[in-house]
Amino acid sequence: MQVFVQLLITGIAMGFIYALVGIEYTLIWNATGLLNFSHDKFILFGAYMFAGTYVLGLGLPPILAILFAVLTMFLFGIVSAFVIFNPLSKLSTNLFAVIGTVILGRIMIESVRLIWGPLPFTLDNFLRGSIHFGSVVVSKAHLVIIVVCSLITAGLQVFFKTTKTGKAMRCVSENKTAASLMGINVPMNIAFTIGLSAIVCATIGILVIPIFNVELQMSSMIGLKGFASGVIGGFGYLPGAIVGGILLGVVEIFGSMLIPSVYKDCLSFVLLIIFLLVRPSGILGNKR
Amino acid sequence: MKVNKTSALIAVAAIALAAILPMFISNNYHLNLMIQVLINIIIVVGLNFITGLTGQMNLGTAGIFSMGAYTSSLLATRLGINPWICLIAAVGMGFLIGMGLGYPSLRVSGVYLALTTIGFSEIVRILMTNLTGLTGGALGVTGIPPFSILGHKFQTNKEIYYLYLVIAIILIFNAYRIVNSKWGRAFLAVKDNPDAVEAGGINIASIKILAFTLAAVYATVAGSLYAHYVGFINPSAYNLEYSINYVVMLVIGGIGSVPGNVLGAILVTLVPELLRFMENYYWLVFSIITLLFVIFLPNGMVSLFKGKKREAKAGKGAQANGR
Amino acid sequence: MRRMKKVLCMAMAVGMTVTSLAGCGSSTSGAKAQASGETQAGAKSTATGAPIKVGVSNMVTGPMAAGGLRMKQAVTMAFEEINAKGGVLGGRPLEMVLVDDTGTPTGAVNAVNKILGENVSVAIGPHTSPMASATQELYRKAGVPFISAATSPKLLEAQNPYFFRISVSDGAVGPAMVEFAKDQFGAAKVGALYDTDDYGVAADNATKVYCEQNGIEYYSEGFTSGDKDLTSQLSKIKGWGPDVIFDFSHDAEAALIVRQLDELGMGDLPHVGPNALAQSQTYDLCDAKQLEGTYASTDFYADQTNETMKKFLDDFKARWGADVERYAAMYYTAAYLTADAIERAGSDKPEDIRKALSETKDFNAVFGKLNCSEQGEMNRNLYILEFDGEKNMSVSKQVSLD
Repeated sequence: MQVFVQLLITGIAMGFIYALVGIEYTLIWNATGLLNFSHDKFILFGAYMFAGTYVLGLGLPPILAILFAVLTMFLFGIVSAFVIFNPLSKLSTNLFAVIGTVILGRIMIESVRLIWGPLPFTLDNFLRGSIHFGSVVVSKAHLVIIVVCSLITAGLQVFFKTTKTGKAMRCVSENKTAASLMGINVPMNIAFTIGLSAIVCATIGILVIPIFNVELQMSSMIGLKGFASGVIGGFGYLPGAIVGGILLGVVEIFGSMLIPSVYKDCLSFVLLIIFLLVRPSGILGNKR
Repeated sequence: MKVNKTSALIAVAAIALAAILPMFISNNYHLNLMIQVLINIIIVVGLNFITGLTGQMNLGTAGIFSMGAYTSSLLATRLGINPWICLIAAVGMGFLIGMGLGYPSLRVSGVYLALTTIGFSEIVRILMTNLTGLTGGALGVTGIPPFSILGHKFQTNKEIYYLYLVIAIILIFNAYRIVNSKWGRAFLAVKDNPDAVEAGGINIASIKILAFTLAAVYATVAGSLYAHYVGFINPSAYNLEYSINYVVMLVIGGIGSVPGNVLGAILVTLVPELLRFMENYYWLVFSIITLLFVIFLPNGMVSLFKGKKREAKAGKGAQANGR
Repeated sequence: MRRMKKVLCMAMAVGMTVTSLAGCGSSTSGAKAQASGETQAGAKSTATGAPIKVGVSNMVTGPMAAGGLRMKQAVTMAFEEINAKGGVLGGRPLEMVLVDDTGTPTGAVNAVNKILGENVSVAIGPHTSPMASATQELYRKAGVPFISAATSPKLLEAQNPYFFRISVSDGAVGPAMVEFAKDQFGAAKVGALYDTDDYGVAADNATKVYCEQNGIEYYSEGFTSGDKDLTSQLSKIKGWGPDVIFDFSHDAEAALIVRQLDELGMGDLPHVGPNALAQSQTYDLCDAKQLEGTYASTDFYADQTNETMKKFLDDFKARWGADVERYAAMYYTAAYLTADAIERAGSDKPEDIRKALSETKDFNAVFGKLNCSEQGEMNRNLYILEFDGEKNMSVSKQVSLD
């Protein structure tokens, strides 16, 4: 029983991470029609900014560091919206856009390596340790992930339903022409969306530091699995990303108890392919 | 098939240059690079069929390449089969993969297909790494014999270079013919205007599968050539980064154009080596250059030569297709 | 419009770089120091003869860049010291020909090809077993000896007389750990986690066989390099009820295992970790409390009581501002070994150096004596270390594998 609870909590925590990843790229996908293949590098950047620069470099307390990291990533997102995503979305085919974001990812990871060095490091007192609930041991990091991610997800729903910017973003993703006719500044809006996506990426990066440590490979797998969860849950659809993410996290961990654990990563990809072939609209089905 | 006189002259000059090069370059390291260029050319020329012409995104080339390499090496080392037969087996594996990946490509397209191919490649890599009994796991397969003709083994880099040059020329020429034949036009039509293809009575499904199969066969052949050249293979070389590299070669060279493919493969293989003097920064610089290419010169180097005409054609076709 | 786009693109590239660097702030802490790595210039060479080239296949980029940095620093410092004392063979300096092997076998093949094209007399690296396996034929064909800290027992299968190993082979570590567990904890059931790469598989196999031969129960679970979550593997092992846990992993996973063992309630089980765990770059990633009472088996221990070692530790710290760990110690030794072999050979010809290397006897390395065996193995010293509550290690047992 104890094992079951532990696995469940790990699965849900990882699932929430996948869900957030799904959310951040779905935001960009809906706004621009581009799949941001460099999103895992955005996550990486956020983590390094937080840990490497703000906490270790400038010695800021975690709260301030989080604020600064999030702000920096927001600005970075806006800049890259104008400089990269905008030109890419104007190219003639999807192919170039995909490759463009992939290469942006490479540039980012190389920059990270050059600025902060290749050595992994970690933050000693950040979300470390575990809490005991009776005989069940749960890691603090996992709990924080679950709480924070739920808050973000709920927060985003509220944001999109009630605020003007949020509603404008939904308009833009439905129909750009109509949106601009309604007086919405589409390019600014898209830039804001990408900035928002970058904020989510930064959050993911910060949250996984206690689990993955800060190193160059920390986000590549969750990036790919984030894609998988989006497809499984319902591509291009925020609730789909959330459902898909949590489902994938839980299935992955329980599945890996049944098969040789080395093939754990295979599970997500196999699921991804199955859904792509059999039910591309995902579990929730795409409402558009 | 009409062949432009200038194109023919350029081709002959290129072949002649390629043939003479080893006489001036005997440094093993440089020959090694040139052989890698040849192998990459073969892969990219094949990739061109799917991604260049038919417009189906393929980010799983490394996985296909590795399956060709493993098929060939395992047959050669475990069963002692002659490398040439192993090469043919690799071709067969290419057919299988082409069919296998071709069918899913009918149901998914665009980014979904990109994700499928990534998923496929990752699964292959994980299996290769962990099916230690079959594949030798992380240490891979060693002691792969080189090709030999009539008892003469192709051991030195120079000999292998010439042998592979001949094979590459055959494959490039073959590809060029296909691209400029009715098949090639059918491939293009599938990308630009699928409805018209259907209306014209051509089965889209079989075209797409054909394109995938061609690409897969080229990749597995390249895999086999690679394995018998280096003498060992292991799963670490077959990840997403490599698949991306091949698409980059395609884009920088020029989508859809076989000479473009060749040029792209040469540039993307050699330029990073030339930039090595930058030490720590060379990969960053190269990536930035690549990004600038994608944004400002999406139709590749070839478009600089072919001028406005090709750009207009590609642009018009895509606009008609919508995004 | 197009020109503006071009300008914008340039501005972007510059802007991105500038904002990132500005974001770093004026820090002098570890992060910046890590990237540049130097605090003091090296000793000046007094050797004026014709340089002797030593090839170094180094992981500048790629997944092993961290270790590669230490390796490079170690060899650089060793050569500086040797050259400052007049070099070898009566005044000839050692010249390092360093090529990036990107930490991958394909990269290693390219790098070694490049090195061999530079007419080196002897080479150091590549480091990992897959890289060494990929390139050992190249060295053999070229007749150039090379020294590596690659640990796979499989490398001996090629029976390559040009291969020399200064680390302890993986096949030997597991059995030593089993003996330690038997003596220290009276263990009869050994649970283990192993990386499914060559290193882990070899270690797992060797341990499994040894346990069978000695009536000890053994159960192991594998994981893939780069795996970020080992909950299922550890849960399975926990369910089996071991007396002690071994793991055969690399840096990232070794740190992960320490954390997850504690989180899954297995923190009280005796745990003997791998070589990687004994290195600062790994245990820095661990929590001190979770590390307390953990053991690590290693062929390198920064023994402060050993004078040669202490001098090396201090010099390295002064030169590079970083602590010595396994990569540094191994390749510092390798560098000095090449110098020693060249002197004994009395020539800069690869074949003579190879012979001298194979005759190495009682060579004073920073971690003990090196004696070359028939198969090119030099190092037979293994330590089992224990962590206290403040990430300090002490020697629990010292094993000689002869």
